[in-house]
Amino acid sequence: MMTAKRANAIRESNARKAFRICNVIFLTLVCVIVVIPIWNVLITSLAADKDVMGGVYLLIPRSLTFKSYARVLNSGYMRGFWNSLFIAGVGTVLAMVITTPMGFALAQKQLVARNFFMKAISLTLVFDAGIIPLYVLIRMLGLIDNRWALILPFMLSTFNLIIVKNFMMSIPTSFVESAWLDGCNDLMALIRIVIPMAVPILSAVTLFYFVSFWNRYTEAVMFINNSSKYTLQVMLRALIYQSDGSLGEGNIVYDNTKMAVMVLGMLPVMLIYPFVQRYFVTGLMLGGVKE
Amino acid sequence: MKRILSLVLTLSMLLSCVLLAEAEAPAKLSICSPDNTFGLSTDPELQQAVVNMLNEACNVDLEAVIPPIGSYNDKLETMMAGGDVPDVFSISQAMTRLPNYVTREQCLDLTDLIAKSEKLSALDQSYFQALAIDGKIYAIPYYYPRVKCLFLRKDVMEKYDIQLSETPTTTEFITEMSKLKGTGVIPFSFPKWIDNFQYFLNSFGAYAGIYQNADGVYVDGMQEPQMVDGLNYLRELYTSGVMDQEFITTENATMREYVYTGKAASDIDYVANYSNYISQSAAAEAATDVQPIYMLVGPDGKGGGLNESIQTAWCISSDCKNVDAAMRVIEALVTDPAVHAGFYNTGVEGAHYTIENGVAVATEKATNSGYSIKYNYITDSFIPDFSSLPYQPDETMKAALELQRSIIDKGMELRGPKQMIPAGKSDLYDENSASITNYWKEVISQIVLGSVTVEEGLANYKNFWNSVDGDTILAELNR
Repeated sequence: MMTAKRANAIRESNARKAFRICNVIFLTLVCVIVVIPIWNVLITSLAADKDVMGGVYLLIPRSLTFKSYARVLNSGYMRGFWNSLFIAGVGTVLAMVITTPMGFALAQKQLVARNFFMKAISLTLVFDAGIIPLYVLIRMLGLIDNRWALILPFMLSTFNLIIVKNFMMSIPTSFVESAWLDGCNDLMALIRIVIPMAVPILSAVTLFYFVSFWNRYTEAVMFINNSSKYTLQVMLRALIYQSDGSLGEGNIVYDNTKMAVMVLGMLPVMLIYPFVQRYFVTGLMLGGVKE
Repeated sequence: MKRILSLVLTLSMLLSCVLLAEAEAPAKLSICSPDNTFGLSTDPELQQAVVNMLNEACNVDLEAVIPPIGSYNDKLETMMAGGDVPDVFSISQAMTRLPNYVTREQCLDLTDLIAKSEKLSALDQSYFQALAIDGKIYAIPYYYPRVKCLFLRKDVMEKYDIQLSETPTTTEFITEMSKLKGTGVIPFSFPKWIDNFQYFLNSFGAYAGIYQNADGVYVDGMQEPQMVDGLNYLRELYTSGVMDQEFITTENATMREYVYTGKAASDIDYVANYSNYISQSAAAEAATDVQPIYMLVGPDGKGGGLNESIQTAWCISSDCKNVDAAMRVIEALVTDPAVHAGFYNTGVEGAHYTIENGVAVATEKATNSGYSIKYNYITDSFIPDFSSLPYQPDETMKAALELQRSIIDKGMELRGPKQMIPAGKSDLYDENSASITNYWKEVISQIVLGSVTVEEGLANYKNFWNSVDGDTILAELNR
């Protein structure tokens, strides 16, 4: 049996073998480079206070204690965590509710003034008004110090919209036309036919939106005044900066606590990623193709 | 008729009730200060406890904006640009930023209000004058001017026989610190903030940036002859291995931790941070005392500590509707022992700490957010006496703080120069001051790291100077 298998296998040349070995070594190195900082964050968060002093970069655990996590879970940082979760959760859902039908509409060749809409939308990719005009707009809308200020202006990403639109353009029009013939209106055609076919791209874009809402920092500082509404990212940065206080009058916060907050900050994305991972690469590749 | 009369009476009673209520209602104000104030905690509930304390002490209703210190200036300036200037706000790097805010008419002239205030006018007026612009005072200093010195671990000095006084010469510093080469101890840890090099430039009478010389003429310090000697010394500090070879990526916190743990023998820090070295080296299980080096005496006998002047000051918005209430808040923050200590360092009893045997002990909730009791207010503030507070530092801390007080006094005495260029004197300077500062920092770091020689670096700087029409800037300033 084994002999038969060997006989049937295509013989691999030495050059090919060498290439594969180099590839494996190279990719392993890349993985190590990516994993090392995460590993460092994790073991530093589990180390005792005295083991993290003096700017040490831990690669081998010196101590194991959950004290930092106990501190963080019973601290004001949890409020930031829940704020971030609310903003990222609600923001992502609303963003998808807007992006998906908009992408579908723009993918329809018969849409009136389609080119005009696309050009108008694409302009926002090139020109960014900056934080002060946005601040003035948010103030005029009465949204300063309101969590919705971190959701409403960011519910549509042009980049994500173009990816979704391009994917939907690649769906043969005959599918949508059949749905219309069967009595579906546009919305039903989108829900029953297009969305099930667009799961890979929608999963990828959902993750993009979630990460962008989750990591939003500058706007959270600028638009929110009451610190009880700050996101985790703002609180994490506050923790890091405060302990580095250039004037030295800040608190002395050890790296293990900072890293424990950082782990808290990475957690939701790390939990979500495995569920959308299988769609991720396919989705991105599909979105990049326009037929 | 009776009905009309009773109706009028009732209405007038109601009206007077409303007016009375309004008269007694606490004044609504907004206040903006970074999160290294408000009781030194990033926990929103604890910050609110400090706001409540202020409300009660000053009979105001404050809406507090507490941005992270790292983004404080961006937030404040965005609010200003967006027309949302807080009624009361603190400014950092006051000497640099205040002229700009005053030019933009964001700050109220406080000269008369300070004169009328019994408490504020009792303070040393020279600190107010340090921030005066055209004779008017727009900002009230929060604490003493900041001065930096070098701190050197005494255990390392003893172990390696390092003989340095509190004011050694530039040559002695390199010679003695070179004894640590090859020992595994970094002789001198330095942070990535290039401005700190001014400490060493002071020893040569050099000043990075535009300044007014002894004759009252504005000159560009980078083009003065003494700058060459200063830069050569900085380069020597680096090439001799005395200065940390990785300083360009070193944060302040890391630099301090190097010294706390004994990984480095010395660093540069605020004189008011002396007690931190005592407590934190003990926490790192490497307890030691540290010796301040206030200045390095240069070849011509010049030198001085790094003078950062008044760093934090309080301003009132020129749009503030209730100036009296705003002044009450600032008065309390600067002169009231309980409010100052609570706002600047310790927070509020019951929220941040409890008192056990006369000593403040951090609550678990506060500790979880990284809070710890700090007593810097005792040595930093203008308030001479905090004995009215119900808690006091323990004996060890008291002794360290007493020593810290004398170190601050000596540091103030031996501090180097700090120059302030008034805004509005040269439009060209106002437009280019940030890029000039950035460029000299870039050139100095290139010279120290050896990317360019001193001559090349200064030639590059000269080209840049010409590109921003620097001579016209000086002509305008000297007009």
